[in-house]
Amino acid sequence: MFTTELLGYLWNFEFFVAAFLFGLGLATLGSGLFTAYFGAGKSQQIGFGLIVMAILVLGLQYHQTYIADPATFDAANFRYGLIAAIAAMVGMGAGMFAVLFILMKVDTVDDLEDLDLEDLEDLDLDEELKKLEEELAAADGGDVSDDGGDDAPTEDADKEDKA
Amino acid sequence: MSAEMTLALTLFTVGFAIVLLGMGALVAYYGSKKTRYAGFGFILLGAVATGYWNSQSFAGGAWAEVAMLDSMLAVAGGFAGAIVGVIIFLVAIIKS
Repeated sequence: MFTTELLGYLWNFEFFVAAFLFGLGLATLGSGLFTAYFGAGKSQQIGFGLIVMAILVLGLQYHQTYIADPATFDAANFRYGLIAAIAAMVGMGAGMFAVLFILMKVDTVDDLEDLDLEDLEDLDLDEELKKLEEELAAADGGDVSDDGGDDAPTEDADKEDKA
Repeated sequence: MSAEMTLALTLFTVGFAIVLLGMGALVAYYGSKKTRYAGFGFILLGAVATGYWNSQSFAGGAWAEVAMLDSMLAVAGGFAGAIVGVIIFLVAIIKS
């Protein structure tokens, strides 16, 4: 049903072109305003350039839709396209909200049950660090006087400890 | 219901279904245990929304009369235009 409808359909690409120009204009206008406001020097100039480009694109589209006679774009088609694009974006937003809401509500803690957090709480980090230092020292040839990998002289390390 | 409202409802359903199917596929693939089941649920919900949309439009339901396919083209065009705009912005910033 769906595929036969699509295969035999004569697409009206005016919808695509009008929406493409409008999307291009809005995106360049938004990024241009952002860059012109927050940018400095060259970036700010680029922002102004993008704003000019957006005004040209949107102005051209407005002229070709509502002012020019005969008009290149049909105003009704443009309106339908705009409604469709906004509705699709709202639908996508609703879908994202539903997914995130359900994922937050679903108790996914049992995915982490392999982690024994009680063991982590009982862990003495100082003890573990000492053990690691001893193992490293043993691996380096039995020199246990190492102060933990710091290249600073031992006196400096002592001072730091006192501080 | 007016043609504009019908069109908006149709495209809302399309967007909702696309996001649920896409996110459901991702969550079902990368999730584990309960999260994965939630992903399958999203896919099911997306399939239900797609089926309802199909029954209301292509199967001759209440939404059959609106210019839905052309409007989907407009949605694709809008996204393409926005992406091109962002690419222009990035190229201009990176090249400066």
